Amino acid sequence: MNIVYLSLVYTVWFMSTYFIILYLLIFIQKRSVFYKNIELKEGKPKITVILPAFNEEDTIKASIHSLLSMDYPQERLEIILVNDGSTDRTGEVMEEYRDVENITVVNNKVNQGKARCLNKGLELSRSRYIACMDSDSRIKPDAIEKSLGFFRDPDVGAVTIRIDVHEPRTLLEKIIGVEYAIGLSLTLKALSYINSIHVTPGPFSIYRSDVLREMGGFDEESITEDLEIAYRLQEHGYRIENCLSTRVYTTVPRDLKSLYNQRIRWYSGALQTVYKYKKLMFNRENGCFGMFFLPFNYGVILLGLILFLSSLYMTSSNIYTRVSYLGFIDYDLMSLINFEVIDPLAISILYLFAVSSIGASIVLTLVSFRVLHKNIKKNLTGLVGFILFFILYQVFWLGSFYSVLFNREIKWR
Amino acid sequence: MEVNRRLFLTAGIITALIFTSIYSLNLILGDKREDAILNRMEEINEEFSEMQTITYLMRVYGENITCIALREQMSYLDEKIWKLGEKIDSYRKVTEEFSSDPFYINQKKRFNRQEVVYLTMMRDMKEKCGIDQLIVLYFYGKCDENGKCDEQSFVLTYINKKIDPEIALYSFDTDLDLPSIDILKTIYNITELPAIVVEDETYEGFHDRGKLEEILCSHQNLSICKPDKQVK
Repeated sequence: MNIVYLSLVYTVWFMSTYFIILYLLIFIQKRSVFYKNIELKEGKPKITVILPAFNEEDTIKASIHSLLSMDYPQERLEIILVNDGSTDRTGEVMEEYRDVENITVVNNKVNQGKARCLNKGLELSRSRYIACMDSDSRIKPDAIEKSLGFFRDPDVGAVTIRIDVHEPRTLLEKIIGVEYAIGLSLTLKALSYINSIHVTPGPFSIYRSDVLREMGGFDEESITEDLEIAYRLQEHGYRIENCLSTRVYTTVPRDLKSLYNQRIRWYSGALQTVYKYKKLMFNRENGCFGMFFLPFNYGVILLGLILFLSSLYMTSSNIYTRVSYLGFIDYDLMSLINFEVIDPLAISILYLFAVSSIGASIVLTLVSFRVLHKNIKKNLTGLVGFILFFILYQVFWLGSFYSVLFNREIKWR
Repeated sequence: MEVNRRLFLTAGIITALIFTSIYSLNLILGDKREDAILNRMEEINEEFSEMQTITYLMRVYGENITCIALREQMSYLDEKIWKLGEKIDSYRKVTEEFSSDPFYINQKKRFNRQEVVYLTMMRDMKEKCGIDQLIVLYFYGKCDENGKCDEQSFVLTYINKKIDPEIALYSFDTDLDLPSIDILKTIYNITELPAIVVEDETYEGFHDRGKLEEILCSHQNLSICKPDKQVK
């Protein structure tokens, strides 16, 4: 067997296992403070929530209602609704709320993109904190109250919260539910302890408004403005925190095609952002984020993708060879059926590595469920699907590398 | 940062420990594989000694009684040798995924030598005891690009499985540089791989199932032979 391939297997195994162990150690070490809430010294500061929307007539009402039902005093809460040139009834729905005292409605005649909408909201706001929320999401009444406390630390530039899928029904929604709970909630919490949060997710994140202004607002050229702003915060030396004790519910793609389009945008945006901030890579000044997270995370992704492709090539060429050999025996398939017991000694070390990786991923997932107080039985289908989802991730990354390398146009939606 | 450093270091140590455990497990499995091969090789050696003893008996006491014992012994050994060859190849494959191991090369040499000995015994017995197995010799190695040695091995394995008691198949790896195999190559005038020798007649190049069955049936009536292709 090719020594390059074997080295690739060992490297990817080592890096991914290291990541899993690191997360597990953080979970063990910090489990007592995962859900700890911090009181903000300054009482109830003014906060603006910007809610940009493009053709979201079905979900926008629920999003606005969740904001109007917040535990936070409404006089300290400003809501800016931005209709980004919708062609459906989104604008009309927003107009129904124009008379509500703390709501401002902004109408873009033509679609300008999410980042420009957020910047418009930032311009209009005079609050100390800015929250950005997706128009297909709804937050828990205590979301602002609980997350603002993290800004007690002056170095904190943004706070993210736990993300859950709103009423997951289909298998795909259940799988994404598990993925969000682990990848966009617990993982971010773990990463916050090594100051390596790399995204302030779109469904709901809060920023210090003076920090956003100082950095020039959201990047209107980026297709993943929530990722880009997080990298910029890291570049400027700000911490990003995660609040697990509250959550935002969001809707997710219902079919594979929509999921593919969403992930191509996310992952292509990630690649563009990493390229833009390549100077942070191995930069001591950016601490763990530059020295560990960026090289390790994207190293595993890139090497994992190469490993996936080379394994796919080897397996398919093996299958092709075997099938072509069948022609030499006139496709006498019955003769190939072998009832011999599997010889355990003929098990390759590659299988041992593969089994250990799958085992480690299962342990991480189960521990994550325990930490998140999620019921394993209720989420069993999503859980099993999530473990098998890794093949799809490779497809998404492959599509994204292709899109970025060949300058394919990526739509925001 | 101090806490972080300790955290990163601990994660590194635990990962290294798991890696070492898997590596050690593979080493243990490697030893077990070697033991399994050696045990089988030992069993076959025992059988050979027994056969050699019977051969001596034959010389002294005649062929009538000894041939019955020898025939049973040979069909039993035939299957055992073939399975050992397959085991050596499969274990060698999984071992080489981790490191190149001279053990399997040596065992392969030993195995090929045993096959040469077994072949000579078989030829001798065939005549004396009237054994009706068709003797097929298969020479392979690193074939040229179009040599199709792997393909030929696949077809021969298939045929052997189908008519195992009717043929005695001996495979020789010419890359092992064994003088005994070189002698056989010279005897049968083999210049190209893969090559098959059926009852002293040499067929070079690749032969698929149809062609191979035709060749075999031209030498002896076997269960796979169609009535019109049988030897008159």
